Amino acid sequence: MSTAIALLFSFMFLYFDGFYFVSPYLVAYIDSSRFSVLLLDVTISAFSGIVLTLSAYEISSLQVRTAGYRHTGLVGVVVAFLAGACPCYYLVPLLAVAGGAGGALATLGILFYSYQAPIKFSSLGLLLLTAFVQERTLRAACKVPVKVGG
Amino acid sequence: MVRRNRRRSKSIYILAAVLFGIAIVAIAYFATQGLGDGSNSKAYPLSVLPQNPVLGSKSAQFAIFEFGDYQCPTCDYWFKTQEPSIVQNLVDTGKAKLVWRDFIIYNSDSRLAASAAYAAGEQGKFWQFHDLLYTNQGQANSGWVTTKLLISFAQQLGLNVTEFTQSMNSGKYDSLIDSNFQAGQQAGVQGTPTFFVVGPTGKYVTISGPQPESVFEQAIVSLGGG
Repeated sequence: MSTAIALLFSFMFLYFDGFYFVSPYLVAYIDSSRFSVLLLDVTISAFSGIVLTLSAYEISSLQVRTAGYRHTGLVGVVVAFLAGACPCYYLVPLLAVAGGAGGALATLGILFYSYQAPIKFSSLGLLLLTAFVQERTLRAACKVPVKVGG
Repeated sequence: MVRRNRRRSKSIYILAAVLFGIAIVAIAYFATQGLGDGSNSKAYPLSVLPQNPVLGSKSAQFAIFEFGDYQCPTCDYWFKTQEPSIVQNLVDTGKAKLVWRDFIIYNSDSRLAASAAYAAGEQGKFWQFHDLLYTNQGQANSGWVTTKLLISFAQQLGLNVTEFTQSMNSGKYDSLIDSNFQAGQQAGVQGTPTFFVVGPTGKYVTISGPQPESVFEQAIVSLGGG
């Protein structure tokens, strides 16, 4: 399941970041100057898959809740979405047109675009933190109690 | 309780699989939409007007219309990574001409930059000025487009600065800039950069975003460019 989610996120982020296009033809293009962005997108997608899968398992299977950190994971995923969608060539213009060329929405879109690197790194940090805590929680919760007896 | 949890897990797996499937289908659908047989039946609202800057031979069979904004970072990215090879392989060879149309989406600085480029065009230096704008692009809506900067570009290009400044500030290009925007909206432009590769019969292929040169070449082939 985490692979499926990671692939889905990868498809979306890589599309938003303009690493592939689907119209008029399906074409992929990776400029060497943007290889680090590609790597970041794939890493965020992978950890989003892991965190969401672990969260789903926690919700469905465990009595133990780590509500605070689960929320952190969801925040990480939301932030990753926002950062992934930022450079989208049609998002900023859409925001600009929706909000008026100098309006708040356009400014927001431009800010997201300009600070996409720190936003993406922050989301990756949140995802890593959540994955770490979830792994520890699940490991503790799934520990088979040792019976001491005669 | 265990059975309920197992059912819930199964539902989550099914949901994930469905979402993944939808994503694949959506990508496949859009991938087949613009397949280049050039059979777009819409009458195209684009034509090369006398006041439109044209790079290359005006008699070239194919026209590549670019709708862009001088403050748009993805337009800048395309300018720096793809335009040089498109100019070299398609424009300089006489196969296609590049036609600039403004599609202003940022603040009034974009309009000022556009007016300045047209003012430079009066002295035969539109494309050089256009290149300087992209080469020196700052953050959108940050106020990087200043009269001082534009005049420095004019000086760099050896333009008559007095004539250039008068023309830039006269407002005479506002109607052209507005009509470019309207033409873009009519043609379905939703973001920048957006390109229309128009063939000699009037059929065209829409290319949205900073796509690589190969897409433009394929578009020309699909429109009968061989």
